[in-house]
Amino acid sequence: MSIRTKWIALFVAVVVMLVGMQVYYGSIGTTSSGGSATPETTFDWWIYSGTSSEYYDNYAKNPAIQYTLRKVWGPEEKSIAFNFLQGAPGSEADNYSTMLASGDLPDIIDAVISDPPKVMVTKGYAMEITEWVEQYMPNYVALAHSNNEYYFNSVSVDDEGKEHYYALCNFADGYDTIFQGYQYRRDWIVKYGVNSSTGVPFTGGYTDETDQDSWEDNVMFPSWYDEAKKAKYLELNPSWDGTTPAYISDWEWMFEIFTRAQADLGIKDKYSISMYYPGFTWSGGLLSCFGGGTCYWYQDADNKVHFGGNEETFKTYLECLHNWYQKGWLDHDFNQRTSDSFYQIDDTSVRQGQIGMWNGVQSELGGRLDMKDGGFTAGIFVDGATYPINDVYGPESCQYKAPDCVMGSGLVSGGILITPKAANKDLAALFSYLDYFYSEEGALLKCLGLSKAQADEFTENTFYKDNGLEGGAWFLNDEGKYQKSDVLVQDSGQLATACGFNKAPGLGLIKNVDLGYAPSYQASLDRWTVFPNTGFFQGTRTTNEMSQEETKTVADLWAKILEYMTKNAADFITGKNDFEKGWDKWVKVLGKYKPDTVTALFQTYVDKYPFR
Amino acid sequence: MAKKNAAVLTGSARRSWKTELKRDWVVYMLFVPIIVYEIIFHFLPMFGIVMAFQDYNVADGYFGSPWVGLKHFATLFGGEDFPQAIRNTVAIGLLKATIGFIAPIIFALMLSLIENKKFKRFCQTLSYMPNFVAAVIVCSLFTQFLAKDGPLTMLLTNIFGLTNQNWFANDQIPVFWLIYLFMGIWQSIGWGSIMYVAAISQISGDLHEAAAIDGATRMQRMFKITLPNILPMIMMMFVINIGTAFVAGYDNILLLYMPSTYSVSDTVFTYTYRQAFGGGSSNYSLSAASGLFQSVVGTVLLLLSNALSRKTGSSLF
Repeated sequence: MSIRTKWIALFVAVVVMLVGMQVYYGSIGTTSSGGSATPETTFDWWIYSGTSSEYYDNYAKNPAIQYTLRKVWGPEEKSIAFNFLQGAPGSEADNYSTMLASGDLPDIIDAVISDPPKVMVTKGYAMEITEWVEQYMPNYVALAHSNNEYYFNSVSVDDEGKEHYYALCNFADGYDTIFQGYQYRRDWIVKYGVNSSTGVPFTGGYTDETDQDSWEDNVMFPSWYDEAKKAKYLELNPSWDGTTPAYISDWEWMFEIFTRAQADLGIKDKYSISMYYPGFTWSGGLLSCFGGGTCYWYQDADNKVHFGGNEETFKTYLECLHNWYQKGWLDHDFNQRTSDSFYQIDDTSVRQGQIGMWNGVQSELGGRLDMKDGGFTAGIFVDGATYPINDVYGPESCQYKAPDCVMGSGLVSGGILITPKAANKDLAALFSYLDYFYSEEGALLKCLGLSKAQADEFTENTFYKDNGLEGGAWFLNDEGKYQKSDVLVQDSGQLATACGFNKAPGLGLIKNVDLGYAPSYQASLDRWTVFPNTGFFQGTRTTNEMSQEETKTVADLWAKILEYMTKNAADFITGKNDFEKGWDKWVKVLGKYKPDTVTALFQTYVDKYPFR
Repeated sequence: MAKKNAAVLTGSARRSWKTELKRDWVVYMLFVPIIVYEIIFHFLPMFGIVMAFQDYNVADGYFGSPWVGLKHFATLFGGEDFPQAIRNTVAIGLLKATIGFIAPIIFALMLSLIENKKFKRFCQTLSYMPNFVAAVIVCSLFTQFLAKDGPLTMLLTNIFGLTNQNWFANDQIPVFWLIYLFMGIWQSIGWGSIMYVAAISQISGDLHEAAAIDGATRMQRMFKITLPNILPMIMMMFVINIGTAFVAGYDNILLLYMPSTYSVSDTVFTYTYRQAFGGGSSNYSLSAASGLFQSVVGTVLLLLSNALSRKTGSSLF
């Protein structure tokens, strides 16, 4: 090839590369060409994570976003656009830190992993948005003032009584379900259990072999037949009907059945239940069932702050687990499963159907784990269980009390921060646009997506048509609830998330939305949120109001305490350390860390900034 | 006269250097990107060491964060578990610097004894492969192999009569150390032997031939010819390795250790990681202090080992 030819070839390659780059990078963050509105202001919006690239590689292509950006917003009726920025999966936190450290801020930041809004404003990463919210967001202001929980967690009041807004939060109109909770093999209870009152074996099964949620049985738990226990539990959970486990004694009754089942099926070296590798979760959960509280700082019913690491609740919880360990009910290798998340411990054994009870996720409920291979998962039906009330272990103060430190959704979450970079842009249009998602119409677009009418109107975008959603993402059912389209209910991927603008701050519709779940599935999800979180205030408004130095003081002390607990709590469970002598030492060592200094600090914030 | 000679000599050297630069400026230009890279990514960031003496936070930056002196070093060294972490670090480092260092040499020597070239090349290629496997995969593999029902565990139990257990959960000395050592050897023995194989290949075949004619056995030729000839290479690699043996390569431990084995597996690196990032917030200053401490230790060891190797006539610098 002559030199001239080489130069021509090189020139063509460079031109092709430049054109390709322009086509690719030029398309990122643009809205659809639908509608007559031409964007007059573009805002850079950093999101923690977008939808799976299965549907679109850029969040700007979300149909709900494109539908809303066709309109004009604000008093001057301007159009806006968004350029969504996102770190590579797995490095979102690094991307966020780099962004802050370099000062190269976008206009809007997803507040999922940021410091508390007030701290972000103090540091200069975000700006106070009070004047914009009060002027251009009547829906938001009205909602924020409509109940205590909304108000406490979204509005900051200074010493002079003036209200400040530092972030735009998500408000939910009800407590949402959570993605994980305790669940157990109810089919084993039916097959291997007998009614504790009559001695008659249980019966039950699928009424429709093709429907993985169509399970019916006549299982009744032993505590239902104890009048005293029954009465006590109904005070805590009036909707209980005895068909689901209520107490620790019910759980232990199940564990005996699971042991029989495993022996009968030839499942060797397995167990009834496993535990997160340190032996506890410091946000509470099962630990809180032994008298309330947790091993971290928490507030009791009188809003008094305690440090629970050296309290009777934690000791009683460990004693219970030690007993389970001794009896072989608790996984003997639990403290070796250090790479497993707390909601997916020993996932292999669970999915092979060898385990009776575990802390799992929604996608494991019903008959979804049945691999149809004739193995241990044959005929499996997984049912969700409420947190149990302790009726067996420890002193009276640790019994018959509902857990108060549990993982659960609040009414206020996440949201976005506006950075100083956006100060000179058309904020009137932006805030007017964002206020739309606090209206019912906007909330539907955020949570569910376009209705049939909206999808029909939005002819420029074929996303709905391409994915079989000609009838829209939702419809109004006979009960007057917004029901998710069957296409989305049947979809096991991310289609539902891809339909709505879920990243927008707004009103989350919970109460009036029917997600189309089967009754048994919905019942399992509801059981996981029977007991609300009233005690664990970490990550709420209470701690969000703390200064950066105070937050660091708490974090540094907690790192040391958690280190000690993580190393030593499991020894009580396995029996390596005994309670008689070991517990005193435990309390003494924790005392050396002086947790009371932080208790006093938290108390001032709990008194001033309650989160419920 | 001596001064005159010296001046002349000096003048000549200066002219020679300039002439050399003028003549070979292209070669020196090739070196410029490396210099720039080193300055930007290795020398300028050294300024960040100041973080170890501050209560650093991202918002205030280097110039706004408050100065706290040796507070973080006191926190680090005063931690209850720091002595244990130091012990484990030294123990694992010593094992790496001795057994771990010798293994590639022995492997290179064994390779040199293989006469069939095809088989030799096959062995070499096979030995290089583990080096390219990601640390996460290696750790995951070994976790499976040494689990209670893992194949290696079965082997150890059935052939050697050892207790059937999850070996990574064993907190007896020196189980974890040895597992970690052999895992490292398995992964790096091939790659680490490259330098030695290259050095051995440089030895004149005449020496071996002459020795063979004189009746020397293979082992005698190895000890009398091969090893002495590659000794300078060995000393140079020793100097390089000793500086890093105690400070590098402990990220695998993060994937392998667990609270029940902290007593034997916790190193300065992992201890710092938990102290700096375990409480939910990031303590960059503490981790910078730990990094500085480890760098100082590594530098001292490097200088000491270089001084030691100078006595054998083959030092790095």
